[in-house]
Amino acid sequence: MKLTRRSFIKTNAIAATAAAAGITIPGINNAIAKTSSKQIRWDKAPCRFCGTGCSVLVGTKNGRVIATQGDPDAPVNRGLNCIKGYFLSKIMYGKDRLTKPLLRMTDGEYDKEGEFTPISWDKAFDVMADKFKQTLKDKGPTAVGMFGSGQWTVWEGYAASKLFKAGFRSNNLDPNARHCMASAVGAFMRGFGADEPMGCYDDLEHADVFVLWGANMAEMHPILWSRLSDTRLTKEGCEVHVLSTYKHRCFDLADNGMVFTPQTDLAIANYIANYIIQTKSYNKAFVDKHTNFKKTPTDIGYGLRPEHPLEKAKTGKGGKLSGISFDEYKKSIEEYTLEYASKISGVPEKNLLALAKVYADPNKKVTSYWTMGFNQHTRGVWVNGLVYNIHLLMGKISEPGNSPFSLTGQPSACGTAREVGTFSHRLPADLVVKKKPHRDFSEKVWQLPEGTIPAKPGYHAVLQNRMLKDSKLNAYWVMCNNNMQAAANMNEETLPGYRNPDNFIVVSDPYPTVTAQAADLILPTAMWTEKEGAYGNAERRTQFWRQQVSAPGEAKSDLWQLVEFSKRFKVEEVWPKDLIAKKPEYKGKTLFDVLFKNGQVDKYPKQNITDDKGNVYQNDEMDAFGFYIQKGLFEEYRRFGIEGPKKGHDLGEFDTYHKARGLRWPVVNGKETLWRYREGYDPFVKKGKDVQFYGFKDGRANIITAPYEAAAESPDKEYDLWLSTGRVLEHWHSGTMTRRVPELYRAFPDAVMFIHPNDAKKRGLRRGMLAKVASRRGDIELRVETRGRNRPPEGLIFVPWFDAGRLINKLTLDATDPLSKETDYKKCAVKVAKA
Amino acid sequence: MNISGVLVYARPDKADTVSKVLSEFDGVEVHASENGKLIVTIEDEHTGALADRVIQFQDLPNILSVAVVYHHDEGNDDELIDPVTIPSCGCNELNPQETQQ
Repeated sequence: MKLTRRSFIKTNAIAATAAAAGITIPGINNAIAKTSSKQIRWDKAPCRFCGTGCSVLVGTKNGRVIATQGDPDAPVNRGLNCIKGYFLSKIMYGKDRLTKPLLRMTDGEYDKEGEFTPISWDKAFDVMADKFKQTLKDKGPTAVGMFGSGQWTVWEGYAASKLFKAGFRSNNLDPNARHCMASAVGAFMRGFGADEPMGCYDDLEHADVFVLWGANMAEMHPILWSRLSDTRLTKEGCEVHVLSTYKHRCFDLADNGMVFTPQTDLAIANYIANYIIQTKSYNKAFVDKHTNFKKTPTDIGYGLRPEHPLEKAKTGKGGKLSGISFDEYKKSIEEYTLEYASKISGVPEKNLLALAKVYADPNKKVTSYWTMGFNQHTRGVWVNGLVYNIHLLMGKISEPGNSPFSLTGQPSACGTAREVGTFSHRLPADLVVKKKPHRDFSEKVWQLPEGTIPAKPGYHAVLQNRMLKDSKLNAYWVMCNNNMQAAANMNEETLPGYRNPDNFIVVSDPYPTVTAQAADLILPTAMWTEKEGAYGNAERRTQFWRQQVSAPGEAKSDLWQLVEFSKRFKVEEVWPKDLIAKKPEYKGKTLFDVLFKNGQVDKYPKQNITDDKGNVYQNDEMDAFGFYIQKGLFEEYRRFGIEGPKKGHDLGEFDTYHKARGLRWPVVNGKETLWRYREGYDPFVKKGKDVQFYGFKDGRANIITAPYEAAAESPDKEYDLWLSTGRVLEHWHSGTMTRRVPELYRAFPDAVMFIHPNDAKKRGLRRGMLAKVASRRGDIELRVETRGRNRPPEGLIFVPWFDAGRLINKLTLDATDPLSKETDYKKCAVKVAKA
Repeated sequence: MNISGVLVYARPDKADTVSKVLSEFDGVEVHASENGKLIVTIEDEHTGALADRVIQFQDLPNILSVAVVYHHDEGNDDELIDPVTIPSCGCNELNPQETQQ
């Protein structure tokens, strides 16, 4: 049968969509055709946006990425693409891409108050190295620092870690993942002695019940939501329970939608555990064999500056765990009755009971998801842990469908920030700077003299801004993030720190973000497929991509910038004499020689990079340094997982990842691991053990009791509304990329204030009117939105943070979880009036 | 010529209504519906319509999720930009020339 060109294409569209949906349409499937274009080269790459880790096919023609499409071979997204992912091909081509280094100058000289002036890379690194050297000389390593990213490629994070922790001997390296994942990390380490989820996305098909705790997956993880929706619509008896502080799009699918008063998730989780114990539903055999009971110090403050009244009032400190008995645990949560939980949370008793029952039913497989609602929480580590408690009490963990699962917001929050250990207290593969054996091992792999890596954790994200303001941190490099727009309390902390005359601020970015504009030196940066890369997603899947195109102008990758900058430092300029004396062969060498040309990282010679179709790909960093640096860095990094003191972090060989659609670690003998800690799935579980939480020596996980405690700032008479912030479907994070895609910009151009119609009416406001929103720290103007996808209850407003023209972080409070140091972006007090 | 294949998840009990609502948009056709999963194509003469439609769909009542699966944009290139076959269907490959006029 002859088809018209139009109907042929349309038939392909229908067939591809039906195949992705698993639907058979008679007469359609046969029409699918392989229609590879001669002029377009297609290759895989993980998406640049969220932590889901969808694989896309990138179409390149004449040196330009012209199209992207969901990768049908990808186990994560199975050919599906969300609307942001569809427009990936456009993110690199915004008109205002930065193409030359820009330094603030007056009359040809650096001047903090000067105008941004184009300069050469050579001059940029001259000025920058001068500032770093002067700072190191005057104040030592604690006065230099870097703010990095969960959007860095694996090797970029690894190179940054080496440069700062070993090269400059400063632990003042923290990623923006501090703002999104630190509480999750804290809870994993306390509960299991090892970071990252035990389950994987396969749970999306295996579970009978899904519970969303502070995650708006429909907008933030649309492809995972599609898979979840599919299961809910096709599996008999499948239920979806959604908890949030306002109604959002996930409520459309919810069988049990619950809007709770902010912070009372602590009480709800404890109620469920209490219900499980009171009804004797818990899995006694599992609890006896595989868990320990612990308690944590309470009344621990809110991570504010020490002089803040809330910090002075606290009576407890830190998170040191102490052992308790089952009976003591039982008693500690007794007060969380159905009546109390309902009263404090505002959720009707019948809804809470329905939720408790599905967790307590031994025949229902339950998967719990959470994202920023839990992590950006002044009790984030606690509340993450309270959900683990529920799963552990029931033994509903580490097996298909039974999975407590922390979702991530950034494409490599796991792969780079967490696994590489770019936090101020961490080293690769779950090692930490404060443990001597961990430093010793890292120094051995890195061939460094003993004592190179400092033992004291550096400044974390929030503390970095405070230290910039207080002139304790003076030479500062911000890379691959937009922290002026992200960090809370911008007016009082971030901006004064960046513009402090004592400080020199460098920002590397592809675009002139608000952070870049607050800098003294801007470095133009290559992004995504303008370099070879690797990301690690939320289900422990490591995915690679090849460089597809050149970066515009003089833009260079973060990797090139970090490694090239290391050439500017002789060891004598950064290390004390006694340290060099332990490795005299390093005398007179540069940090580049010591860290990167060390016989390991430069082990793999320059080579042609090809795919199985014979296409040849460029690699600008290999050309610049003369060796396959990405491979060298990865192979050195891999030793931490294989030889390191913490087992179960094994990664596969570099070359395998260029072939596979990602592999979930631990990867042993080329085989990935779907469920950790369970015999039959995880090769590290000893035979006959059934379940072994081997992150701890005794193989047991911790059930840690923690109470409900109030938020740092709650509404009062004057500031009478809660403010919650977050994302929208169309934009990713601060909008640096998505706001430069015309279609996405047009779809959601400006941030609005979602507010209950009654709250609007009380203030003389109607939909579309301009309102002034103020906290104790600042105010902005926003349009009123009383309809649409987000429907807050009375007493709460929701404002997205993507809009550089309406910076909601002028209002937010820099209160953090004192354990994880992660900011609570979901709770502070504001007032709203007519503008 | 701009043709997309989009997978829409609707509440199963409202799938017929959603199907009707979607069909009323210019250039939108619903080709199949099963358990709330709708196979939808969007046709338009100019680039950008896909995004506008998909974003409109996301905000319609009773729609749970929208995912883009296939896109052909004649504005970008005269060649088809469909990169690969869909392996899960196990179908026979056709020579594109045979099906084009």
